[in-house]
Amino acid sequence: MKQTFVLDHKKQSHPFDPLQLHQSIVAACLAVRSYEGEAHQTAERVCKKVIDWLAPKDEVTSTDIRRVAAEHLSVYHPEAAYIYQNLEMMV
Amino acid sequence: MAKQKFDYDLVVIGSGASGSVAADIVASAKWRVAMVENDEIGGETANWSSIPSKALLRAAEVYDDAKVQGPQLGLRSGSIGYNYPSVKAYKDAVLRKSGSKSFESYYKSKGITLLKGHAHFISPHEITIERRHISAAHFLIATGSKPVDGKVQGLDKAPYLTPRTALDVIRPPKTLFIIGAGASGCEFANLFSAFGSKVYIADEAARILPKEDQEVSEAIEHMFRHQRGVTPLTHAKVIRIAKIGLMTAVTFLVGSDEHVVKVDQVLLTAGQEPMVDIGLENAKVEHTKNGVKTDEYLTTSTKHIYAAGNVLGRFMYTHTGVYEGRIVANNLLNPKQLISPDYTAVPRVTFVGPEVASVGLSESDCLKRDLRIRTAVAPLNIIARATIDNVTNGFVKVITDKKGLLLGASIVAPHAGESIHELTLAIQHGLSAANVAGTLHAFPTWSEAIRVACAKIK
Repeated sequence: MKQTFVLDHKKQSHPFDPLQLHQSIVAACLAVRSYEGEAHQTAERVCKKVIDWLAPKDEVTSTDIRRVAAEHLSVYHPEAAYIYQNLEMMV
Repeated sequence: MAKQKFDYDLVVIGSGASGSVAADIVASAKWRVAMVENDEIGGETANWSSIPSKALLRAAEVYDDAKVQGPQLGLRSGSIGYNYPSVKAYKDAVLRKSGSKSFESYYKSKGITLLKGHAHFISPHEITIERRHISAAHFLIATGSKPVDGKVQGLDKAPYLTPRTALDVIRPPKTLFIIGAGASGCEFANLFSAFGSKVYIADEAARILPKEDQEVSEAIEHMFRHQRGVTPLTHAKVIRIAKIGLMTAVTFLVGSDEHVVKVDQVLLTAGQEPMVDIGLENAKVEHTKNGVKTDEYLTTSTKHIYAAGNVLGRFMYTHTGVYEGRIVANNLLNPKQLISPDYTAVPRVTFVGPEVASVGLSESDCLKRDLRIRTAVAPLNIIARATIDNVTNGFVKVITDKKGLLLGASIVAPHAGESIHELTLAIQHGLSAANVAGTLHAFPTWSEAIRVACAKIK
C-alpha cells in the first residue's frame, strides 16, 4: 500500500500517522465523556474510513484529514465530532 | 499571459470531453497549459462509455437485423452466429481507431503538458500531483463523474458488473439482472438480449426510461418484451443480492410482494455522480455531492477556477461537456466577452433498437411548469421509409406552445439520433411546427415523419 503524505499548516510534508489520528479522536470522544472502550472503538472505525479515503491519494492537507475524520465521526458521535473540529478554536 | 508568476496559465483537471477541448483551444492561444489525468487519457467517453459500448451495439444491431429481419426480406440467415471474443476485438479496434490511444502525442504536439496522477487542491492556486506541487493562474475542474455506489444489501459480497466491466465480459451471460432502467441500463439490455441473454431490467420508477415521454417508455417496453424477451420490472426495488453457488439471487420488492430471481450476472447501472473529491475545500470552491456550483459563465465560487462537464451534475452527456469546455475556453481567452451556456435544446439519444432521441421539454416537464401545450404524434407506419425497411414500431412526437412554437420532441425510429438534430435546430432558433412542416423533406426518408408530426399541429 502506498504511503500518503500530509501537508501541515507550515506546508511541511510528513507521512500520514494513523496512530496520531486515532489518539486525537479518542481525546475528542473522552472530552464529551464517552467510555474509554467506546472511544477507542469509534476511533478505530473512523480511522478505517479515513485510511480508505486516503488510499488513492498521494498527498493531502491536515485540514482535509480533520474534515474527513469529523464527517465520519459525526455519524458515530456528533458531539465528539463538534469538539474534534473546533478544538483549536476553543483552546 | 505575460506574468510568469505561476507554473502554468491553465491547469485542466481531467482529460475527458470538456477538459481536452478547453485545453486544446486555450493552448492554441499560446497559453501554458497542463492537463492532469489519473486514469486513461481521453476520459470515460473515449475509453469506457459511449465509444466502446456503441461499437458492441453496432455488432448486436447487425446480428439482430440479419437474424430477425433477414428471413422477412428473403435472406437465408438460419446459420448466422457470433463469436463474442471477435465482437470484443472489433470494439477494441474501434477504440484504437477512435484516437484515445493517440491523444498523448497530439497533446504534446500542441504544447500541452500531460501530468499523470491524482490531483488534489492544497490552496486556491496550487494542486499536488504525486507530491509534486503545481501552481496555475487558472484551473478548470473537468473531473467528470463515476458510477453511483449501490445501496443494495450484499453488493459488497456478491460479484456484480458495472457499465465499465460489462464491456469486457468474456461472453454474454445466460441470464442477466440489470438494476436501473435509465439510458445506460436499457442500452445494456438491448446489447445482451440481442446476443441471446435472458435479461431482467428493474427500476423503482413507474416505467423504463423514466426521463423520457410516457409514449417512448411504452414503445421501448413493448419492444423489449415482445421482440427481445426482456422482462422489464417497474416499481421494483432491489433489496438484496446474494451469491448462491455459481448463480446470484436477486431479491426485489414490487409493492409489498417480495420476489427472487436467480441469474448468472447482475449489472448495476444506478446512475452517475460528480467526482468532487479533489480537495475543493482547500480552494474554497463551493460544491455538494451533486456537483460543483458555478455562475452562468461556469466560474466557481473562486473566480479563477472554472468547472465544466459531468462534474457540474447538470447534464451527463459528452456533447454538453464539449460545449461547456468551449465556453470555458472562450471565457478564459475573452474575459470582456463572456458567454454562458444555453441549454434550451439539448439532444439526448438512447441507443436501443429502434433508437430513442429527444430534445427540449418532455410533456411531463411542460405539465410541471404549467405550460399550455399542443402535441402531435406521427406513427412511423404511415411513411414510405418504414414500409420499405419493414419497420412497424416507432413514432415522432412534437410538443409546441399554444402559438405552435416548438418546445420539445421525441423520436423512436431507426437513426433517430441523426433525425433529432432538425428539431434541435428548430427549438434552438425558436421555429414553429409550421416552419418545419413547410420545409421540403426528401422522399422516402425517416425525416418525413417529422414533417407529418409538425403538420398535425394546428
